[in-house]
Amino acid sequence: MNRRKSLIGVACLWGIGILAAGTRTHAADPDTRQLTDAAGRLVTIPARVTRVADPWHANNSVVLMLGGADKIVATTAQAQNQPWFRRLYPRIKQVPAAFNAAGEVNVEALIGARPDVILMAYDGTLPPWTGAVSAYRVPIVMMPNRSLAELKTTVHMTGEVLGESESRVAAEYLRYFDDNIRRVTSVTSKLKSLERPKVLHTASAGVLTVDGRQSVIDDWITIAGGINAADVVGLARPVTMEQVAAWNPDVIIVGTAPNQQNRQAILDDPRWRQIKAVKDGRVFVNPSGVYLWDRHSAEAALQLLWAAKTLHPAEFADLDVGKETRNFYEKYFHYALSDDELNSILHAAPP
Amino acid sequence: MRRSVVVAMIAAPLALLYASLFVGRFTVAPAEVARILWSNVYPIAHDWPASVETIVMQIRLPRAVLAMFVGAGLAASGSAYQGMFRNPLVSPDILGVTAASAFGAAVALLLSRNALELQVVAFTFGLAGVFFTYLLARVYRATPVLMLVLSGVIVAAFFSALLSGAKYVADPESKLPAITYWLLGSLNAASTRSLAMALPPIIAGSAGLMFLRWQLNVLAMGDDEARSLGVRTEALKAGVIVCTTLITAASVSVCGIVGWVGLVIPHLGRMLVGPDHRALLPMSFCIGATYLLFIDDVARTATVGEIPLGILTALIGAPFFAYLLRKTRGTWQ
Amino acid sequence: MIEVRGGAFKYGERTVFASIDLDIFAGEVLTILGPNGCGKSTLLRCIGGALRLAEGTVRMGNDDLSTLDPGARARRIGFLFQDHTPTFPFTVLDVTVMGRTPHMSIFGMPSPRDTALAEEALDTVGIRHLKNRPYTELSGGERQLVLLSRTLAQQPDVILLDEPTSHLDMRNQVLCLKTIGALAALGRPMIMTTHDPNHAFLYPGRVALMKPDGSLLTGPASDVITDATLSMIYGTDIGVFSVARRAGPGEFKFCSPWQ
Repeated sequence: MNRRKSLIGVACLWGIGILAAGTRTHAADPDTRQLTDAAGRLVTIPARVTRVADPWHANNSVVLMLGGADKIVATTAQAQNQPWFRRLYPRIKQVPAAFNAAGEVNVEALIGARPDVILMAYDGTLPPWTGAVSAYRVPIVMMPNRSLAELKTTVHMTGEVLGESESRVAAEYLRYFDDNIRRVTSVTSKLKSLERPKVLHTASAGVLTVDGRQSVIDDWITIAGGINAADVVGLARPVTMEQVAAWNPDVIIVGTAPNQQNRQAILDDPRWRQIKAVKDGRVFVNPSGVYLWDRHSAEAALQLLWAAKTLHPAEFADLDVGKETRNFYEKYFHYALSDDELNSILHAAPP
Repeated sequence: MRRSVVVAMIAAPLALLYASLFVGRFTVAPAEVARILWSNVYPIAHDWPASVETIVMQIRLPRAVLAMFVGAGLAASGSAYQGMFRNPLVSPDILGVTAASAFGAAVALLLSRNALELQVVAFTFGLAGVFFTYLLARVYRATPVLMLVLSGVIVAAFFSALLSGAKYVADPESKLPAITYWLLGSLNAASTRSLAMALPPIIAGSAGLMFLRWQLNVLAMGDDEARSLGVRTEALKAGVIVCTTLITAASVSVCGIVGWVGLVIPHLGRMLVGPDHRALLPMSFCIGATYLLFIDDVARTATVGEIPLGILTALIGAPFFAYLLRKTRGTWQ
Repeated sequence: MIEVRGGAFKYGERTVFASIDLDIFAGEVLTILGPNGCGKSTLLRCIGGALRLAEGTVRMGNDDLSTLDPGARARRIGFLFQDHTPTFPFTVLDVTVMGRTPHMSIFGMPSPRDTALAEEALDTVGIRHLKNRPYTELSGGERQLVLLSRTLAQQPDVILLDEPTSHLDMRNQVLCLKTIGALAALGRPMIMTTHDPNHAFLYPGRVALMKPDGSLLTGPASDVITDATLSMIYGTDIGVFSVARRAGPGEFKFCSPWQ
């Protein structure tokens, strides 16, 4: 009889303990906040975020721009190997690269960095490792990445996740971004379609690929007063030389693996010689700084200005891209660019 | 061979070559093509835009010529290897040249090199891969066929693993797609300069195989018997390997992995003229040239983006091979 | 015509034969007789140059065979192998013409004369009517004859045959052996290995019996092939019998195991 009573007693205590533990996690916690991410999920993140894991290469530059780089505890090799990023923010070299180029994660390294939140690019599907990571209860915030408008949303969301001061910087940046858009479109929206040059943005040198419609690149080409010559959908699509000749672009921008050698290869190649852009000498290397300007980086705001000036030098004669870049770097990266450094960035050269 | 067959063998690829020059996403009339070609031999007034001349002479002509030489070379290499290994299921990739070349190309793409540099690197890696296979297969100053095959498997597996590694570290926004597209095969890199680099090894290797075609017949009887007939089998095997590797490495370095040509065309040739390499090798050249030229015309014209060559050759080659398999019931007689 | 002096061969540690002395004279068919695995094929390959003797020399006329380059050796010695796996359907004529390879240059093609000689060889062997057939479609015996024509087309001074009838049924065996006999009658020396002692009685010429210890017992068939010697090398009771010939005078000898 006594034995049975004590057994029941132990069982009751055990049950109460479990219940207590269970209820604790469901109570409203003043230390958390919630937001809806791009995948439509309601994500709960800590009220104060001090440790961020960022597997989205370009987004690392956004975090740096917002002033939250000290919070990065896990990043990618692609981001931390950008020469200008390393120059401006040397600590990035020490941050563990828990994510590889394909966006796959070394779960141990990631969890070992103890992030408060993970920032990811959302392209319609959740990456396969979200399941493995969710067991560790690290919230993942998915952010949109398919157009320039979505880039603005991403900057805003990144600021929101990081905290108050970053949110303020984000708001300022977005004002600047919108200002630039207005500044550029006030001129380009008045252009007739004949005055809009056909722009071909190439993605790689060894294999001819181009960036087409429905992409962030298409967006800034259009805003800057051009037409995307590549009549394909998506980024890094393969095309034949003949198709390029048929499109006959007015301007060629060597992007994404931008360097002077690839531009020179195009100028030297007899197959490109009759393309209008080559004949007119309008082959340019896309600038690249903390990250590639032409993609979802913080410098996208500058890309608009550079593209507008490149495509329509006469209409934007009073636009000084160098000065804007200097100011941008001063304000957001707290770095004073020398003349040589500015020149290197505008020509996608390393420091 | 009958005179009519010889005439057809030479006429078909040349006719297709001419037709390829006015086929494409950019419309050029056949008569205009004729005048453009003629104007390079005999000066006449240019009444066509310079861009059209570029398309015909700098883009389409090198591409068609390259397609012919690569197709011819790969088919002949396949014939030679099938005779040398005494196995109709052998393709020119068997000693690892393709895997090694592909890795070289991936490295070049990772380092953002341009197309010509890529060609050189891929060619060099291809040669190196076969060199390792040959060294690995040497047993007491001989290279038995079985050792060659096994060594080829090892070297190919090794380079495939390295290739996977390269893909793993490649940036998925630009480098990885570039590597993927390159691996699927395309003649888009064809230009007068890439042709000038690719053609000499292909021609040299093909000429070598042509000279050796009788000796290949004897080698197909088996190493022991060939030796009893006075053939220096080790030197012959090394010679055939050098020739086919020059051809295949040059081909892969300029157009990626084009499968099935080296495997299926020799069978077609054997069905038409029998296994005697005196007839089979020239026939393989001609059928291979015509076949790849036709496939490339489809690849670059059918859609806006290019259909990779590797996909088309497999789509056509695999069912045809299946048909051959059923028809011969696997006996290859 | 061929002299072997002090020939020895080893597979790794195992000595196959040692201290072999052998002479083959013009116009004879020397039959090397022995059980499976005794080393007779190895010996034949050493004489033919496919294998190298560990010790000793093989001389043909004044030349040490091991110093000859493969082409020169192939012009003097023809070898008919025991096993041939056909892979590709070459025509009979094509296969026969391959025998002319030692007389062609390395990058050469067969000349009309080469083709004519090949056709002659087919005639001699009696299979000219098969010349355009794929040789993969022939019976085992006919294919063996094709390979024999190829060896003939080589126009060698000596022909070596390694168990030429091993995979053949009785009809094809007789066909093959008769042809060999006809060729022998033309005067070229031939060496044939066999494990069937009956073959040794077919041709004029000596027999070399390979004993278990690797040594040779050489002499005329009637001396070398006896109940005692056969029983010794095969390890079972074998008798040599004679019957009167059905057609013509004389006796016909044959061997058979018996209790």
